[in-house]
Amino acid sequence: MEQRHGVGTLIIVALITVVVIFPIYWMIVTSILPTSTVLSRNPPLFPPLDQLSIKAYSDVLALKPVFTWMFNSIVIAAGSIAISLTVSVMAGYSLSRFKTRAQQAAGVTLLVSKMLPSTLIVIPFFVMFSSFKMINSPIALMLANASVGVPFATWMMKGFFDSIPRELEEAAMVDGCTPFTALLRIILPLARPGVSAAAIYLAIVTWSDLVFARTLMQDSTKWTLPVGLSSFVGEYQVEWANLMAAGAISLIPVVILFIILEPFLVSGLTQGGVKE
Amino acid sequence: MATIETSEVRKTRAPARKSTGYGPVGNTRLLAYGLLTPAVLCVAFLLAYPLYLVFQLAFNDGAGMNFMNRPIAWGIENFRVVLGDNRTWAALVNTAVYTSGSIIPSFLFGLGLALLLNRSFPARRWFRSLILLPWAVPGVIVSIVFLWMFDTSFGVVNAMLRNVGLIEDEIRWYTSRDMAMFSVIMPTIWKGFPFFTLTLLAALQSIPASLYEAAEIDGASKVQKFFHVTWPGIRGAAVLVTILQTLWVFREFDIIFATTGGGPVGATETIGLLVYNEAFDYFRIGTASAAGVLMLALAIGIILLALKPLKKEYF
Amino acid sequence: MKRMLKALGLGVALATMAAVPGMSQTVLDFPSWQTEDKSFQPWWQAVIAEFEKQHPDVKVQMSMVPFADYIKQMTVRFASNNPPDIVHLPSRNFAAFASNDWLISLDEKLAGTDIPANWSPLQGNMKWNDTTQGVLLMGYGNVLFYNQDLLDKAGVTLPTTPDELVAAAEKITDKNAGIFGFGGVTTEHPNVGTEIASWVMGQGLNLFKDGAYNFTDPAVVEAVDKYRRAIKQAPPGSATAQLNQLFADGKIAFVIGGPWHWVSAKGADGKWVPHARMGAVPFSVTTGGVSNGLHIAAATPPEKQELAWEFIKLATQPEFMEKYTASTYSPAARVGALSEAAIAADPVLKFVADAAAVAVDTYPTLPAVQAKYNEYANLLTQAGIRLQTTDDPTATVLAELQAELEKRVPLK
Repeated sequence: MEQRHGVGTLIIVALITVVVIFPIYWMIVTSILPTSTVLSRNPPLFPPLDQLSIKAYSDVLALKPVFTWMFNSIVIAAGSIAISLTVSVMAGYSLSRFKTRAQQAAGVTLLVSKMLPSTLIVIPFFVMFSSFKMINSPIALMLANASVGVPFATWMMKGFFDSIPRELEEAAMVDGCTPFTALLRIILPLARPGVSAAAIYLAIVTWSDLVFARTLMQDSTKWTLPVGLSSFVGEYQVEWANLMAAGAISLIPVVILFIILEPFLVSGLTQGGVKE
Repeated sequence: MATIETSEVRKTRAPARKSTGYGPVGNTRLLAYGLLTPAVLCVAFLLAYPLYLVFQLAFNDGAGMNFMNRPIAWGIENFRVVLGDNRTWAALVNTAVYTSGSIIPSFLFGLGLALLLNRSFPARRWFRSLILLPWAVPGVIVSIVFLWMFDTSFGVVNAMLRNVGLIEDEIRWYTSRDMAMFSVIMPTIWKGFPFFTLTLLAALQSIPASLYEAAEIDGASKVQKFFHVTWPGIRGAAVLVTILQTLWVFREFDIIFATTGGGPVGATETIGLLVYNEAFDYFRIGTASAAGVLMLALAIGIILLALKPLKKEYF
Repeated sequence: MKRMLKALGLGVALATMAAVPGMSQTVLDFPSWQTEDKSFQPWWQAVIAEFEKQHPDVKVQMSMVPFADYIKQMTVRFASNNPPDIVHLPSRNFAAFASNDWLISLDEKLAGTDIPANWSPLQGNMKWNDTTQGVLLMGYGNVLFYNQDLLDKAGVTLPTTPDELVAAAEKITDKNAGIFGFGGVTTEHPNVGTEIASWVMGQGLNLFKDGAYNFTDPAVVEAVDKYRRAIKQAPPGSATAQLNQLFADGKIAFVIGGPWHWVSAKGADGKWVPHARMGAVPFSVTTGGVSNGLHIAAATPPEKQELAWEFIKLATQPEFMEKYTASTYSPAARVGALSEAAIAADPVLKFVADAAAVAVDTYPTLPAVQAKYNEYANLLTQAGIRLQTTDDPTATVLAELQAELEKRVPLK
């Protein structure tokens, strides 16, 4: 009985998965078929095995510095995750444990900060960073991404800390810890799933960013993956197979990250995070 | 005066507290603000100047792109122009259609999927990772892939629809006025629903099984169980995630810009696109900023509307 | 967790090191959308190499900005007083930049060169407020690309009039086979407006008359109607990039466009696609336009302005201008840039140069339209999209366009 129930769900979920994953599947199919096969009125839904070719991949890797972009993306993501996590763990803890009016105001500010249209931020950002001589600086891009990620990561962390009984710190302080060391030694290790969940969230936000990277990174050796990918759509030509190959390559790190860390994401959110 | 009000959030979870703070009050307060300062600085530093500039330009009559080298002429001319233009109102309608058209299906689909994924079935972990993957796909790639799949002449979607006999002529997904809005909503849902699923799934998993058992003993039906046990358990998460996603979609720019650019004939020009086109196509940074201020006001409106349920759940 | 943080820390450290720039040379910043273009890149590299040879202490940093994003990037940079040292602009956007006082007058500098005497008349488009603010690199005449195989299969001959072109295209189109008789832009892009202007002016008419819009003239309506019939044979939802790709892949019979598109008829193996041909446009008037030029920004420090000017002078030398036409199939703006030897080596080049020499510019001449060109082009394009996707009568669409133009881009 229980088993049959599971199989029924499995079938429904599998069907939904097929539909949901189809765009990614189609991207990969396009990338491994010759253009002549793909540019047809009836493109084959399943790639004919005798036509498979990795030419698009070798072309893309030969023509464009995809791995440089990927490296840049990873550095930027790592940096902005480090900044945002540090900042939002502290802020989330503060918002969770202490309640003052100023802090509520800060919470609202964090939320409002998500509302300015990114297109309008671009010019002021450029003015700011160019007057600091920080155009092309990865630090500038990390800071910009952090400013986008911190608000929600702070909310996540606050929710998570809320679920950790404060008696733990009180006990620690009876044993002689200061509030700060109590946070470091007692609370932070307990908050690991929450921190991981926040890290994934930040990674995805940063990995997707186009607006800031596009504006701040003028030098093409410093481009991130999304910026590089957008350069494929040229003035005069678009080569679908190459474009899809580059897109597929750029998804690899995200997919790996996602498959390894996805359980943390759900459990991190479950134990605290976004819930009552 | 300087008492710290302790958190009252954890109504049920935390047992009665003995003390109202830690150690000397001044010290605690210092810690509270000290920990918060970097976040506020981080956001304020990156927000203060852009906000100032946007407002300055919005109230700068006839501001053009050369605003750095021209004196400011204070006035409300930009708002008069923006509010007096049909394009603005059309863009507001488009924004409303786009936002609700993306959020409602994302929510329903996300919730349904969360309920499914909360059941136990074989290989659940793998399906869960796969099905949530679209969230992690950068907007640039999302737009490119959808443009390609929905290409009028050579797209796989039109080919499939033709093959099963649903259509005879191609559908111009991104280039006809009738279909364009639907076509930009699709990728937005695709990228947006996993976040709903994820947070709602997390909330579902935190509902104690004992509540369901108790409901079963009371002879509750499936529907009753949903409305009396499940929904109250996830309502908080649902409210927050809906607000966050609404704000995301409201400001969303990448997907529309890369697929239709606001066209054809303004059919998908949301306020976000209007701001962009005014600034970078027509070089009218003043009116662009005024429209941006309008957008900000609307977003604050959304938050104010949401504040009551939000407060109920979180403060 | 500790290890993870360590790794993050390392990333930050690496990034910081990467951020420290080298300081020894003067660097000229030169962003362009052609930086990675397979036909223009070698030419620019050659100019830059020569320039750096002549100025050993100067480095030209050419960087890539995708075309779709180019104007926005340049706008952001100019607006924040941080313009590039060497300014490369698509000419249809020149007026918008010039009208913001972002570019300097080159009149004094030009006076000492042979450019005023030897340049294409299209150089006149580089004027704003009666001063010349740029040097045109390329002005072109449109050509007709056609697919000989598809013409042969359908049994049609090369058209010489708009009516013949429409008839041939209608005969060739086989939607079920994915074959299209005509290729024109069918997404909302300013090129739709340019194509309409080209069809009207190609038939000896004009969109403006006596300083007013002329969209209600019955002859114009008829000319646009022919465009409408042709564009119905085009693959829907395609931008220039897709059209070139489809033409190269043998899916489109006719494309009207600038001659540099010829380069995209090169297969992946570097050989010309066998079915591709280039011929004269089937219009009574050869239409064309200004493509792009080099400029100097007002906010650039004087010593760098001087270097940028040196760069422009070098790029416009006869030998580089000849190479430009010969390697990119784009007619350089220097009159007679091609030597007899170059023409003998590739006869297509003469054809390209001749088309440019007689071309009539489709870019509007009225300053009121030029300053608001994007708005004008967008409205024209939107009308074009309406012609493509609805059955509304052409006369109605154009009359409404005229009313909207008079409101948003008034001429007086």
